[in-house]
Amino acid sequence: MELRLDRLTKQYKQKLAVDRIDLNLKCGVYGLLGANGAGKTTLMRMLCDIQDPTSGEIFYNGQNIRKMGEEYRNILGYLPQNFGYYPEFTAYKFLLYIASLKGIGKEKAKLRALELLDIVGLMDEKKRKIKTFSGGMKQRLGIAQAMLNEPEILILDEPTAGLDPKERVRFRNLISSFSQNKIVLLSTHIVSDVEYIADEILVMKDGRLIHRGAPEVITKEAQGLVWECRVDSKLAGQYVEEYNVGNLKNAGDETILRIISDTKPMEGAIEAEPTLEDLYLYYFSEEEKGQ
Amino acid sequence: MTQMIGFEFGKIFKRKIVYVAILCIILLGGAMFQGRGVEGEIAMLPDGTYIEGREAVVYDIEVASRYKGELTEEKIQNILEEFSPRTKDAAFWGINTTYNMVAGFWGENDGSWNGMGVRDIFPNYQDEKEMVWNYNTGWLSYLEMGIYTMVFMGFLLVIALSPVFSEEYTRGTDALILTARYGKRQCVWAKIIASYLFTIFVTGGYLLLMTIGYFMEFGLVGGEASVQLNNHFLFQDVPYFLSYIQAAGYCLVLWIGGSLILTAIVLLLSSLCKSSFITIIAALACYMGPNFLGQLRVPAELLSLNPIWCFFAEKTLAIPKMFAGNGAGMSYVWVVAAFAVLAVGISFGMGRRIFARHQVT
Repeated sequence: MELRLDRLTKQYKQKLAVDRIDLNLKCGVYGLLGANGAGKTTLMRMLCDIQDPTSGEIFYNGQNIRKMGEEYRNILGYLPQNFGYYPEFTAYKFLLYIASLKGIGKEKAKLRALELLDIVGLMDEKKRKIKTFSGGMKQRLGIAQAMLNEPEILILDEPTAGLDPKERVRFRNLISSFSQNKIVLLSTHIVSDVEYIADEILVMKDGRLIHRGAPEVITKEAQGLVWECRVDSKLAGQYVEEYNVGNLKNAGDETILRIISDTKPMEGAIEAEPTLEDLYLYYFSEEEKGQ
Repeated sequence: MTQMIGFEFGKIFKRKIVYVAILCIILLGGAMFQGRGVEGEIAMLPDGTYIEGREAVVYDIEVASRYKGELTEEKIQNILEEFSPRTKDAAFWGINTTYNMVAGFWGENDGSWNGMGVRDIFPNYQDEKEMVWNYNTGWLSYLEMGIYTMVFMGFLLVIALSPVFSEEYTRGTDALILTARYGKRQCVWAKIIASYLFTIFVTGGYLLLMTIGYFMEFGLVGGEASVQLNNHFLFQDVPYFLSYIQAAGYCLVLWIGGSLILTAIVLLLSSLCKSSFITIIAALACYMGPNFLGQLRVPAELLSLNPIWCFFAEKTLAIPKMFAGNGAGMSYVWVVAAFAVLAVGISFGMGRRIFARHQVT
């Protein structure tokens, strides 16, 4: 199974949202990291064939997805960034509706809907109207609808938005258990969501794929960029302004700073073991500061 | 597909405003039926006393039956002679249906005959067959009520069907639909079929109830009478022989045809507009706009293809029949019906194309 992107480009008037992306995706979980506006959502929409690329093509097992049409959508599961729903529908009815759109038979749809409601922890709420759901519950329902047709390609745009830590853990386990022999692409800017479950991390910036690799491999690339230093608490603010600070912890009169920097930021700074989050901050510190 | 249609049909009925609009139509229809039903009828007996309700209808039918059939100058004069008020202050209206109609067209202010023949009053009338008179209050009320309530029915259709596609854009559910296997084809058709089912269910149901109600109230008497002969001066521009029963049939075709054309317009706008509100505004403009074109010398043939003119019916029925080589005439109503079928077809083709190709943002 292979999903191939060939010089995929999307331009909105003056803005180049996705810039000539070449990519081969095989079975596995891919974490798409990038700041807001990096082009993740546009890329995912093009992968779902709900936005036309300005140029470039997408092939699934050598076939152009736009020509595959229904055949491609049959193996696709998608959770959009802003998951839309019908407030008056119950969770169960909503899943049955989506199942009918996905061409799942009535009886199978009922069984699958109940199974997924159980998996995402909404079984007890199946008869409740979606308008009464919390953000996390809606998001779980969104994940369930994406998995209804047991898709071979699962595309999840910010799937953990609105989930509490416990729900996030549950979601990660769910994706892990689901991902065998499938292509799962999930975008996020919450690094921990993909750190443990992604087979490969794709880093997007300004519409381009600037980095890719297994989490442990690309994390190692940040070796020598992360420093821990103890500074006088009164001077901490000055360092935060000056350096790309990933973490800040008070320890009495001192403050422990975790600084991401190409060079040793000060005397006494100790090189620290990098994490994926450090790498993310290395690439996106300016964007994050901007937000 | 059936299941999808069921879901889409349910989505249309999920909105409370749809129930409110249906309730308004029922209340309006009920009020009009009450006002134009048997209970609202009055007639004056030869001795000057007024009778009401069923008694007035029976009397009216009896008077009309004496003059029923082809309307001649002789009958006109006899009617004026028999029923003209004898006192100066007496009203010319509310005497009986037959006299009211004749006095309205052929009576002078003093109740005397104006000297005009039947065809003099209806200069557009071209048919070889002469006009026929009979009691027709039930038929006339039926047609009038249909016209007025169908105009309101148009608002209901606009309100109920505007969100069919555009609400998916607003809610963000378009992304879910368009990435589902049947989202770009069968689902769109299901939405369109459900919308037409709604139109047929609501419009057809209302018209059926109204028809049954009137036939139970007034019966079928007078169905053979000429539609031009009524005391509300309705349909007087119809240039060919048209009985009330034929007019009712044509009106039903126009009302249902108009509903289908309006549904097609609303569906197309809904697939184009990004929000239900914009769709409603655009649909109302498309629906009400042609109402004002009547003053601008737009040909009636063109106007008649607009839903609101279909609902008004009178202008369309006034378009002369089209004659084929064999001399058989065809009413323009059938052109409207054919256009309605075409509009339905266009809404299926274009609606699907627009929604399926819509770029999710």
